[in-house]
Amino acid sequence: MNEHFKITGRYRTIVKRANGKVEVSEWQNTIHSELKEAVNDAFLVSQNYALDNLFSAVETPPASGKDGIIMYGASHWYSSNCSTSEPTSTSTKVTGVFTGVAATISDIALGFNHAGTDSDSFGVNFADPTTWNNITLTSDDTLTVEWTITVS
Amino acid sequence: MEDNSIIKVCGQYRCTVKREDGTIEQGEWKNTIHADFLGLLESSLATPQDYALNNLMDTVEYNNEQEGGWPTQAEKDGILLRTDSLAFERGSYTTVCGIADGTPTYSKKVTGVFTGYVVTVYEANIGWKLKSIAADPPFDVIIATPTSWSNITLAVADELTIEWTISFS
Repeated sequence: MNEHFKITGRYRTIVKRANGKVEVSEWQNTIHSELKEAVNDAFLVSQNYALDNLFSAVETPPASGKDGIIMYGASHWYSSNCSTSEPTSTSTKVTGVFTGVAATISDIALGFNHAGTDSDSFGVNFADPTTWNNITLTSDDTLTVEWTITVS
Repeated sequence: MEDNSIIKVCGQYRCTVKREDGTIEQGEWKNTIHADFLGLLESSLATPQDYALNNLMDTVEYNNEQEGGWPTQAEKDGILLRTDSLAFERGSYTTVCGIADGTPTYSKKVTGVFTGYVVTVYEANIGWKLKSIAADPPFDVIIATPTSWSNITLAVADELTIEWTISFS
């Protein structure tokens, strides 16, 4: 038992180049205040903010009402092909795979219930990168983002 | 956007005893967030979970392992008092509860009021969905327990009010 517990997160980017080269890096994230608000509001009225209706394709604009990881490049917000897993009993990992588009990815976001517009507007924005290094992709490269949220 | 790299969940509770002669005794303590709630919160990121305190206890009711079920308070949420020195299932009372936004911004304050019985209160728990029969643990999900507690002995005309605040910062 804990006097308090905390929600934290981090993400890993994995770029698989067309020539087989793999580049991996790992970064801290910033948990968005909307998630804090949703968790608090759920004490009064049951809230659904579960990442259980995931984006299933790389497309712009991202599909309305879906959850997961979106990426900004070539002047558009794209959804990624997402899946989730539980690497430990206290953490949830969302994996987003992006390929087929030549773009410099300059931002990403994780959230619940996307607005379906060419924007980063979610019903509940979970997290953003604390720091981000732009990633330039050709259409044959694949960018995989593994975003892990941990309750501890 | 607020710049948080973490969300911290913590809590505290305040006990106010109003004695029949008008004396007021007050104490404030830290709580321990229970692992049940930690697990529920983690699950809520992937699957919708209900932990809303929206079916609150609304009367003072007693239950123990001999009496078995709660006559009217089964499956309700709020603050439960343990009045047996050993375990909730050996004797506990519900409180009359309310909930409101607390301070700081992302917090909720649950208030439980108890009066009308001569008892010693050995502990309090705040939780979601009181089990249908007397049990220990008494709730489907315990949200928090006292980190420390001083026993409180009450006369029939005394009134104990517990204000329990859970905050997200």
